Amino acid sequence: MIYRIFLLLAGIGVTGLYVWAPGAKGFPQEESAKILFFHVPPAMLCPLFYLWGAVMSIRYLRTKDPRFDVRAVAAIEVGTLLCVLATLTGMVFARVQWGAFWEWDPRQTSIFIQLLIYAAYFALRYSFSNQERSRAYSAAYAIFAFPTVPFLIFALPRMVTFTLHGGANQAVVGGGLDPTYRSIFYTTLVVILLCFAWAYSLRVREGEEWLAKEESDGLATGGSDTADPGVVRPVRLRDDG
Amino acid sequence: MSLGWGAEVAAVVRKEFRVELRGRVGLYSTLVFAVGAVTALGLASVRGEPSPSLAAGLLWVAMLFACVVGLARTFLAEEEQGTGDLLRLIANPGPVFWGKAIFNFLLIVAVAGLVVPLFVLFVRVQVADVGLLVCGTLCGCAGLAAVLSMCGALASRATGRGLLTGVISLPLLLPVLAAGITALRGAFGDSVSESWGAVASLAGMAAAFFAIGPYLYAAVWKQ
Repeated sequence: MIYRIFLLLAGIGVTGLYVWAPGAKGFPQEESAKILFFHVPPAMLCPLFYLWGAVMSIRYLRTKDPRFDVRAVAAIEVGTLLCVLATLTGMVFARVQWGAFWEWDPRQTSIFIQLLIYAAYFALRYSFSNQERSRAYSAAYAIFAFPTVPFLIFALPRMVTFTLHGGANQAVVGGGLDPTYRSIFYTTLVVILLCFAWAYSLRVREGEEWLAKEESDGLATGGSDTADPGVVRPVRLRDDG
Repeated sequence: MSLGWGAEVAAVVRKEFRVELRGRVGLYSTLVFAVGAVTALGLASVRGEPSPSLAAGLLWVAMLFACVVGLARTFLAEEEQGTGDLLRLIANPGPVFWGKAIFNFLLIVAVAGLVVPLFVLFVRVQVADVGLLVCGTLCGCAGLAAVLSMCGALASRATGRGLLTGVISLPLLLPVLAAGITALRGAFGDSVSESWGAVASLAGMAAAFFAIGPYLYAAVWKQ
């Protein structure tokens, strides 16, 4: 409860800071460039969630403990949500600053490729009729896909000579933001991190409750979580009388 | 009698070649797709020579088109023919992965040996740096082989495995293609200083994929 109140107040505070902050110097449209408070943090945080997803996948493959799989899926879901947010806010940002929603800028391209790679994770995950196989194969994919993330963040943007992100990179990463702006930016980053960490913890709790229910029931709930065709699973008959 | 690691890998490569030479489904479908794709690209460039950047992109699209069809079959065929369980009984996962990945790499290099000269001939691009073309193509082939082998292995026991292989491998191949395009832009005459860096990135990515692939395959081998 305290955490929720804290997040609510933090959200109100960040919105207030967004309204109060002056326009971002160095951008063609200074006032609308303030969207960087909500565009850059998701782009910076989504690789962290993907990394956490890969770490949890490694732990799942080592221990076969489904709780690690729950954490891996939750991290990748939250990472993908951040990736979608970064892509969408980036498109709005691009429309205002560069005049078009999509410019094939290396950073735009790399975040979009990341999104596609992790969308494929879900395609693989829901393609198995056997739940344990689904967990193991999707964990393997999450680990296999992760090396592309540092490549897309660090190597790909340096391989392409043209970039429209040059000024923004210099401002955010190169320390070009003035102290007030930097304080607002890092406050927003922390608040967004806490919000998504909360979303992650909710998703983990939901997954663990589902696991506990499945263990106590021994019942499959349908969808992709049914046994292989021809496999008979133990079923406890409910005694309602 | 148990074989050593190297002998087991060699046995899997030999087995893949024998199976392929007996059936020739993968080989013929890959060749037809490769030649068909290059011919279509040649028809599209009848009235003009494409820029080095566009030519590099078109060449990798042709390679991708040819390889996605044939390469992932090595793992899928085991499950379709019901030989996967037998393989899991008598072999170790590491050598099986390496054997199939090496076979895939050799097949894709053979495809590149046909596609690249045909592309240069049909699309009429100027090769400015043969060394860069060869190194970029070989490293790109290694990346394609590593990703397609692993994705084929991951999709092999899923429902709708043929379609799924393409779905999960295409996004993972995009970083490989991005680096491959930068490498070949330089080979086709664009003055790009990053081309050799892109070749190094391709080699690094292929090495990373080949390094973790066998461990992951071993982890899901008996699932």
